[in-house]
Amino acid sequence: MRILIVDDSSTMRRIIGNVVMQLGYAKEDFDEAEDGVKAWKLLSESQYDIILTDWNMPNMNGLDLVKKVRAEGNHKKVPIIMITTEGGKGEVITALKAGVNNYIVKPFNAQVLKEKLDGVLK
Amino acid sequence: MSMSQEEIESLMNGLDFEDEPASEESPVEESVPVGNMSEDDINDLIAQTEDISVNDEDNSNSTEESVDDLLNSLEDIETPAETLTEEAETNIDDILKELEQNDNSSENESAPEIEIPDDLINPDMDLSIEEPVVNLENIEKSIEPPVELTNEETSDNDIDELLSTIDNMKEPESSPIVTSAESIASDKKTDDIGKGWTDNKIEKGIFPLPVEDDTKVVNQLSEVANDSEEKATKIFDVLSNILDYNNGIQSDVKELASFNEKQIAMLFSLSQKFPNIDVFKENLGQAESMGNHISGINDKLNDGNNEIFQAMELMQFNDINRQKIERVMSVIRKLSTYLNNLFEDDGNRQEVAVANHIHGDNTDDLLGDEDLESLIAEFNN
Repeated sequence: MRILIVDDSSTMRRIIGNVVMQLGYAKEDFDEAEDGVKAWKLLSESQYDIILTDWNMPNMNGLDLVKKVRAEGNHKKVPIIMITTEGGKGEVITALKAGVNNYIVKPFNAQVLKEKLDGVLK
Repeated sequence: MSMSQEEIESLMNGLDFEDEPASEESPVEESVPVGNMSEDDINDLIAQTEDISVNDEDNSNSTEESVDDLLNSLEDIETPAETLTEEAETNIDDILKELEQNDNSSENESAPEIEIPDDLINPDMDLSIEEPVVNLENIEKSIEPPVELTNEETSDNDIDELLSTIDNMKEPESSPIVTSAESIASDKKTDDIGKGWTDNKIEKGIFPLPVEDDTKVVNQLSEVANDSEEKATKIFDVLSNILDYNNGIQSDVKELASFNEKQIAMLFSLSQKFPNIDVFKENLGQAESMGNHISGINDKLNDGNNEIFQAMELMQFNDINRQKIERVMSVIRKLSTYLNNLFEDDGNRQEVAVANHIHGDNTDDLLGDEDLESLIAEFNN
């Protein structure tokens, strides 16, 4: 299974990657992008089974990326989990309306991510 | 303002920073030797100005000489005019003599070959003779006055020009050097005093730091966020390395455990076959306890790994704090824009001078009524 991790913080990318590895995935199973533009480039180059993205990022934010993925390209049906500090009800609704499959508010632990991953991959 | 390692070392060695003041010096100060001017430097400068004034005197002497030369040349010019008049007069005399000779010859000889012109016999002949004189006078007038005038004009003009050039030479070279040296020295002293006073206030925290790129609030916050991110990455590297070490230890322990299990199995079979030999039983017991130690090490390593994973998860707060800082930066930017708009001046109103001391101020140098009266009385006396 191929996973795309999108976050402007290198620490967060490593944390998410570490959690993903804790869940039994190898390092070769996931790629990293620091903003929506680079993520879109990777999405157009390869096929991924799940996208884990932050919201607030430079160049192209996570919400715009979700809208773009849902609107065009070959990842329209790929599950997307948004992992962000935006914990407001309005933001969650906005993200879900844009096409996000699940939503995780930072800080999170490995168990929460595992449950969400299991939920979207079923 | 953050200090570099070199600056900290130089501070520890008791050295002062002279880079910044040197870089902040005005262009006027750059033309003067760096540092405070010594007494010798000032004397040298004064000596240079004296040399310049001596040269100026030499120049004035040369101008006087040139004036004398001009006057001599004028005299020389005048003398040819006189010689011209003398020559003219001699020519007239010659003509008169010739006329007389002609008269005499006409009286003596009535030769028709030579005809005496009427104008020579004519009483107006003198006028005709005087004409060259008049012409000569005109020539003299035409020659002398222009020459004399030009001489006078050129000499006056030359002198004026020379004087003006001397003045011009004295003005920029002599006096300004002395005054610029004095002014630079005094400016430097006042600058040093002012800078020291300001630095003291800044160190005490009374004054805020001067507005520079690295003291602007948004820049500082951005720098803090970036530094924090960088250090978090390094901490993450350290934690990852510890995890890798633990994984290495766990793989070694796994080999130890498998070896130990084999040993236990062998010792168990030996102790079963040779129940009378106590060594097998003792070694079996030690191998079993060693197996417990190995499993204990494994458990401790797993606990340590879990702690590391928790630490890694807690490092999410670095990202959360960074976003909080960015939120503060955003507020500051908006506030800055708002305040700029709020305090913006149209520039239509002329700025009015403001009073330094107003009644009600709690300043030390505010004058009371009694002090005012006593001062007035003192000055009246």
